[in-house]
Order: sequence, then structure tokens, then C-alpha cells
Amino acid sequence: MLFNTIEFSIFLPLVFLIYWFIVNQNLRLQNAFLLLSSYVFYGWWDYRFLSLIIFSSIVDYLIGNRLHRETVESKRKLLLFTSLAVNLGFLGFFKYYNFFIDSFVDAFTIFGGSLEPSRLNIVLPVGISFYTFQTLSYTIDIYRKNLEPSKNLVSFFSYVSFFPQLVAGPIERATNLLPQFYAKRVFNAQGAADGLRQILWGLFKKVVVADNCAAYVNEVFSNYSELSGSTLFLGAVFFAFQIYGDFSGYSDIAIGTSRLFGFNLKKNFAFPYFSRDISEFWRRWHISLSTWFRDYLYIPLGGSRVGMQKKIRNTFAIFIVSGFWHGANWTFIVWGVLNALYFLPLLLTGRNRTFTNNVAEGKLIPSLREIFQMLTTFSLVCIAWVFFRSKSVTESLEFINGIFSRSFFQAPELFAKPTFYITTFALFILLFVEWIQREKEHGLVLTYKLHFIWRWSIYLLLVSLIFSFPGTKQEFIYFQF
Amino acid sequence: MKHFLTKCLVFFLMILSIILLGFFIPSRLIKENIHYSIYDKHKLLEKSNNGARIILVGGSNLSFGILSPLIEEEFGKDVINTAIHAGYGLKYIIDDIKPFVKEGDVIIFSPEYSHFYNDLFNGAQAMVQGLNVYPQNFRNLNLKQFLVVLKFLPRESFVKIRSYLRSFRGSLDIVNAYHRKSFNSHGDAIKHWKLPRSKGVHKVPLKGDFNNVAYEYVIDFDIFVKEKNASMYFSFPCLNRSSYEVNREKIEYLDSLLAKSDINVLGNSLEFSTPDSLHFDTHYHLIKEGQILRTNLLIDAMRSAGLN
Repeated sequence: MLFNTIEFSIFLPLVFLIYWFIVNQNLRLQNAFLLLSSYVFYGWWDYRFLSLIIFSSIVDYLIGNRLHRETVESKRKLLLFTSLAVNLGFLGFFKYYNFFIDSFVDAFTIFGGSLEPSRLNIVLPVGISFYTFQTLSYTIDIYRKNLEPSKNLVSFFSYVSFFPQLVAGPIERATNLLPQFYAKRVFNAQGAADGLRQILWGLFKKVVVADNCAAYVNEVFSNYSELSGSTLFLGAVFFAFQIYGDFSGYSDIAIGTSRLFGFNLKKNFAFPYFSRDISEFWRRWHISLSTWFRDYLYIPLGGSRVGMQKKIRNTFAIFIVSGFWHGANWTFIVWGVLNALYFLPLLLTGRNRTFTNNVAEGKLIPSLREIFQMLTTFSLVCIAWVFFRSKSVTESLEFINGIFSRSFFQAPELFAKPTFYITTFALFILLFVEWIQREKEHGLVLTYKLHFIWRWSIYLLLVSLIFSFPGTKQEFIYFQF
Repeated sequence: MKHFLTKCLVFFLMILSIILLGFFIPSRLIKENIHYSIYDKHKLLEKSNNGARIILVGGSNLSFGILSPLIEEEFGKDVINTAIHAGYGLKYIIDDIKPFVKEGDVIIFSPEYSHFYNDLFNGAQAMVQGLNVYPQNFRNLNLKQFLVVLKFLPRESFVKIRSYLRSFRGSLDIVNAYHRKSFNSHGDAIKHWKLPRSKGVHKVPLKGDFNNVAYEYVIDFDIFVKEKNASMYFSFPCLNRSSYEVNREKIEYLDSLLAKSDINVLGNSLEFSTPDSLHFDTHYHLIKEGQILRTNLLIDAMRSAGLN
């Protein structure tokens, strides 16, 4: 079930009303009902893959409890390894099997051999990368003795499959989300109202910004060889906003929906396009994944408290794995390498934590220096996004080559399309609102000091924009990961 | 909780009122838009009831892709181009034409490929616009089409409110390519001939799996036509060549199914795919030269199929 569908607009109020009016008597009922709702939500897409989530949940529940009791280190390691093998095994099979087969055959061919690859027609279960990482964090945290295992099967299963963030994150840590399933939720009107506002802002970002950008982006990337440099440049910029609107929009809806049910999820995006360098960008983009890799990969490898060579190795490792997490294609790996190359100079010169505050804090207008820094960072990010969006590395290189050609100074071919103006208008609203709100939790945090007529006018305006200027409906980009 | 729910309800009712207002608003523009041409096309069908007509049925690949006078001249029969918009969905298009089929009629049926992929069988926003203009077709809708209406109704209502407000700026007299008056007396679009062609006609990939329900519906339509002692011929749409190339596999699958069926098929999909340079603004809309080319191809195919 997608957030921007009729099905979900019926599902959500229904679940909300039953949750707060019928099953609100006790915690067990609340959790059991959430579990059932989450399975309906996921099964709506393909009920067969529910078995994967259930199996994964059972394995991690049993291993988690056993790990806690086990004192022999070798046995603890074996248990951890089993959990990793099962979870990463599923992920590897469904997501990477064909990639490895194809790459192996390609490599074999280079050396003059000939192989008939036996590819499988595998359907990638939606959200597998997200819930796999969520369950992994649970087992690893128990292994590290940072977390007590769950003694309640229903609570644990509800945590793994919690529908607002099941298919595209934020990837929640057991240490944050699981304890929330242990306490009975009490309705908080202010939190729920803020949740609704965040949902509204997320829908605007997805439906108006991302989906309108998508129409333009799809056309540019499908026909890049025939288009001018200026059109390709706009295509890359629009993709940057498409993926931002799409993914951060999803996260906003997920976080807002969770608040309706009394849960607090972690922030996943913190206005990343206002970053002044790549390091800041990565602290603000897909925060739940970046911190996951930091805590479970980068730091165990030694992080930045090691020698120069290892620092470089660790940086490349984290970015390459992050790229590979996104998809089984060399384009994602190159995207990761490119980001590592952007990041490395900052790390090596010790300037990777220069910008830990908000840009132009307490001011309305940034300085020229800050504007330059933000534009430079955004340009670097856009170049990397070209690899992310393209079908192959060759295509990406041709695309970038096309941007830096003489035709960059021509008027863009698709300039005359009505969608271009709608998209530009939507981007203007997005940037304006997010700039004003950049020190807040999300784009639509409104103070109650603002008269309700103004607040409601803003809501109505956003709803009318969502209905008046929706782009062609696109599936959420991160569903494929 | 009570206070929260009351506020939600009030907000929901406000939005609902705007949607209903938008749908029922008496917009002056509505009688000028392309969807209103359904009345003109139905009139043509009612007027020429001699039972030996050639009726073109499909989406805008036909309205922007055929010149009926050339066919009329060749076969000496009344030719009516009933096509308006692919976004009505295959089911809606077929259901709309069924009451008009009479003994001896020749139906040239040319749906877009997206009717068999892309989930367009049950229609899209254009169907809501069509229903707003011609509510009689509500009676043909099934549950899935009602869901499509429900999905696009809010958007359509807000679009209508915007166009209603715009109508006060006096832009009613502009006859563009998508105007009720952009058709000739047969129902072919011709007003775009004098307009500049868009540079943005490119490869458009077909998404999704093949829709067997859509295909079965075409088979049923063929049986329906035969039972009326009329005949139906499937003609491939004029997809631009570069889109054809990227969708070749999916199109050839349809080709192969049709070849195995009892449906009369005119030519093949490749020969009806048209050079990109002959397209006006979308991958299915042709400029005048394209319309002539495609019509001549159709005439040849009809002759080869033994039509006279």
C-alpha cells in the first residue's frame, strides 16, 4: 500500500479509530492490532512476502533471547553470525543474486571464457533492505549488551513490521523504537496534530515536488543523447529535488503517521540541500542509514581514530557499502566512491565537523560565502546523483559529458513544457518554506501563536496545491531498495 | 481526542465541500473543451445510420492520426472518427461506442498500447473530465472505474475551480489543439496543423505487465460486433519510432496474441510506427503529413484485408 493512494487514505483513519477507540484498553491489544494492521499494509502489496518478515522476526526473536542468556563468547558469536547469515542471506539472494551472476559472467568473458548465466526471475520484496537492517540492529545491540532482548513476541513482531516505516524507513534502532512498544500509548492531541502537519508537508513534497520533477527527469534521462547541456543540467537538478521530495516526503509521512499512534521516530532528513559541505550533507541526508553504517560498520572498523591508510579504507568502505545497499548496479557503487572522494579531503584535513550548526542560524539571509558553499555542495551532490539515476556507468558519463558541452549555453529544449513551470513553482515553495523552517523539526511546524485562520489557510493552500498540481503518480523511489 | 477529531472532521468537510463545488461548478469553459466533442461525435453516429459506415474507435492516436476524408474517398462510405482521449480507458471507450454499432458497420479499432499496459484499461483523469461533460456514461462504470473516479475527482475539481476562475479573464475564444472546435466534420483533429510542433516528443517506455483483462475485453468486443453483423478490424496505433523501439518486446507480445486470435488485424505494429519527425506534441499525435501517411497505410491495409 502506498501512502499517496486511496487505499491508504481509507486504511489510516480506520486503523486510527480502531486503535484509539476499540483496542486502547490495554497494551497487548494495541500491539496486536498494530501488528495485524502492519501485515495488512504489507500484504496489500504481496502477501507472499509476509512469510519473509515473519521468518526474520522469529529468527531474531529466538536468537536475541538466546544471545542474552549465553555467556560463552564463541557461542555468542555463532548466534550473531546465524542472525547475520539469515538476514543478509535473504537480502543477498533477493537483491544481489542476479548482479553477482552477471558480474561473474562479465569477468569470465573478459578472460576469453564463455558462460551461460542462470539468472533467476526474482521479485525484490518491498522494503527488505530497511527491515533487514532494523532487525540486524536489534541482534547486534543485544550482542554488544546495549539492549535487553524482547520477552514479548507480539511487541517484537510489531516493532519489526511497524507499518509507517516498514517499507522505506526511517530505519529505526531497537534501542529507540522497541521500548515504545512496551508502554501503553496515551493519545496526545498536540503530537497527533503535529503528525498530521508533517504528513501534509510530506505529501506536498512527494505529490507536487517529486512527482512533477519526475515527469521532466524521466524524459531527460530517457533521451539524454539528443538533448542540450542546459536541459541535461536541469534534468540533474530536478532529479536532486525529485529524490529529496520523494524520500524525505515518505519519511515525513512515516514519522507523522507514527505520531498519530503515539510513537516517535527519529528524524531522517534535516534540510540536506542547505549543507555547506559534503560532510554536513551526510549528517543531514538519510540520517537513519548513515548513522546505522557509522555505528555498525565504520566505528567497528576503527572509524577515524586509526592511521591514515585505515581512515581512507574505512571511508571508502562505508560509502561503497552504502552505494551497494541502494541497489545491485555498478552505478550505485560509483555513486558511493564519488561521495567518498568528496568526503575524504575533509576527513584528512580534519574539517569534517566544521559545520555542525544550521546555516545562517538566527538570520534570514545567508552570507555570500554560505551561498557559495551551499551551491558548491549541491553541485557536487547533483553530479553524484547522475550516477544514481542512470542505468549504467557509461550512460552517466555520457550524461555528464553532455552537460559540460557547448550546448550548455542553449535554451533548454523542454523549457516550454507546462510541467516545467509547475515544477519550478513547486521548487520555489519547497525551498522558501524549508529555508524559513530549517531550524525546526520539519517544514510545517507551526506555532500556536499563529492565529488558527492563518494556520488553516496554510493547510488549505497545501491541500489545494496537492490536488491541483500533482505530478504523474510515481512509486516511491526508495521502494526499489 | 474529541476536540482533535472534531477539528479533523471540520477540515475534511471543508475539503469535501470544495471538491463537490468544483465538480458541479457550471464552468463556461467546459462546453469548449475537447471532451465536449463527445456530443458532436455522437451526433455524427446518430445522423449516419445507414449501417454501412466505417467507424474509427480508439484514443487520441486516431483523432490526431487519421484523415477520414481520404478513407471516405477511397471506400465511398461515411467515416466517423469517434476518438477523443486515450485517458478514458479502453473499457470506457468500448462501452461508449457499443450502442451505436449497427449491421454492416466496419469498426476500425485502434487503442493505444498503454491500454494494455500502464493500467489504463479502467481510465485515468481524462475519464473524470469526460464524465463531467457526459454524465450518461456513469451507468457503464464498474467498481474499478468508480475507484478511478474517486481517485481523480479531487484533482479534477480543483482544476475546474482554477479554470472557472481563469474563464473570467476572457480566454474562451482561443481554439487550440485541444478544443471542441479543433475537429473537422468527421471528427479528425486538424486545428493543430498551423501550430508549431513540440520539440519534446521522445521515447516513452510502457510500464507494467500485460493486462489480460484489457485483452479479453477486446476479444469480447469483437464478438459483440460480430453478433451485430458488423465487422471489427484491429489497427495498430501510430506510436513514434523511438518509443516503439524501447517498447518493442511488449508490443510484439500484443502482436503475437492478436495473430493467434480470431480478430482481424490490419498490418503489423512496426509498419504503423511513425517517424518521430512526424509527431506533433506527444508520442501518438501526428502532424498533417503524419496523418496523411498513417491514413494511406491504413487504407492499404484495409484493401489488403479485402475491404472494399
